[in-house]
Amino acid sequence: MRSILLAAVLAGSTAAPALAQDETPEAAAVQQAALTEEEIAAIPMPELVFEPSANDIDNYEKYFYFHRADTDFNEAYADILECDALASGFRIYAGASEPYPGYYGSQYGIGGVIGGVIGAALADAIHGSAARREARRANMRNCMAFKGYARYGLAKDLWEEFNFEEGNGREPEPQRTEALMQQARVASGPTPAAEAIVP
Amino acid sequence: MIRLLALALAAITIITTPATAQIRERDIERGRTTIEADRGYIYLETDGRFFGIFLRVPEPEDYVAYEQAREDQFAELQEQYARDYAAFERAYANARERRWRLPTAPEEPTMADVSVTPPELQDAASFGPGSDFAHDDDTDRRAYLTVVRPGTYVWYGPVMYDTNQGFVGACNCMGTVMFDVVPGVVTDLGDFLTAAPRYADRGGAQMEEFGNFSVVGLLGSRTVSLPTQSREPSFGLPESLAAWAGEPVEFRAAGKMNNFYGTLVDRLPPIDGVLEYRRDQVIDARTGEVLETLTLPQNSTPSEAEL
Repeated sequence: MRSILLAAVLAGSTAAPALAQDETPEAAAVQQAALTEEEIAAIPMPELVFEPSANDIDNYEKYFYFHRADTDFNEAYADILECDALASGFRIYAGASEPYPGYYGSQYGIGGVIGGVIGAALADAIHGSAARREARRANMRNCMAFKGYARYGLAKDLWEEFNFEEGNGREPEPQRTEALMQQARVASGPTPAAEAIVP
Repeated sequence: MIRLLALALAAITIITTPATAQIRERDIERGRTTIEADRGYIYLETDGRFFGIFLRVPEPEDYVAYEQAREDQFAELQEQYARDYAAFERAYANARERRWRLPTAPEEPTMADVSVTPPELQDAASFGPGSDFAHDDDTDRRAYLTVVRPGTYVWYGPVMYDTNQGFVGACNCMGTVMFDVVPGVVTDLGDFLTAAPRYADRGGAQMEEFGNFSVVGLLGSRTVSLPTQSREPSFGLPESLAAWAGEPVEFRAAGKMNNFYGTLVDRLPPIDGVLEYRRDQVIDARTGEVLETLTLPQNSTPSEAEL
């Protein structure tokens, strides 16, 4: 059921200009028209209520979500896309410095950058994978904290319902979009009953 | 597997390692190095080892040169393709005649096959953590003197290329400062970059990852800890540079940048009179103006005619 609903939302959202070859998915997504209330309502709200065990609390470094009061979905979604792109090493910023429309997309393509804190990833896939996941978590936390979002811990099984980890390559775009939209739904949704944890 | 690795390597060739041209004090004292009128010089001091990258803001002619380099490289690829295709045709005819397995035609190149370092990274300059200009063994105070192409530079952040790990560190992708480097003069940054930021107002995630970086060197791994103590910045060139023209730096706020090197994402903490934030908006503290979210700030845009 969830997939069907999301498919409808995605079909609606891709009614915006099709992704040109020279645009990154993030840049295109940020530029696309805001979602309508109907489209937003069709995005399933993930389950966030749980009774935390000691193990859950130990794992809050890995499993968490963001929320900011007085923030609508489209604002939260743009923020999440921006942070996701920065965390992925994508070129999202162009703006007035772009020599001509599509310049950055055409120069950089949609590939991310290999490197960063992944540490010898080519030689050590396991270590590299773990480091990449860790770097992504750190980057999302930092970026969203600068944007004023609070962080809340979540149980692993609930987290997995609307998040992804990219230790060994990029998730397929539809799954990424689905997850990021749900994260934006949570970030702009009702204020969590749980207490926020350190940013 | 080999192909996958080759593709991965091809993907990173576009991100070249920043140039490192460090001058050491002893080279000046021994007369091996003198100031050059057409070069720029960035002098800075830190308490303890430090490292980082400055990105030069491209000028319109840099984009023109970049486009030309891309077209030149594409023309070369096309010429190579023409040679490869002619060889393929001969091999194909030969194989058909002898009823051998037919060879596969070469793939025609596209612009996607062209790999030229983008203008924003062409004049990237790195310094540290080794090759310091001078250091005080008692206090561990260190100085770095970097030779650069004159222009406007953005403090990209404590990022370095480690041969064992790739790019390590955290970029100031969400806000930083920039400054001008004029030719034939040493631009004196003093210890501003590490002393002036208000670390107590950093915000962001509270994680050790943003304060310590492991650097693998010839003598093993060591950790470089980033400064966390704010204090009044100090300026002034050392006695050894007395004969060189020096100029104090003027910093101004710079907007967001892409995570070019795929490192951790951070921002320079606010700095009195220079850099402030409103959530993630970057504010020029001198004017109160919100800076655009740009790949590189205040970048001049060439007209279509120029391109």
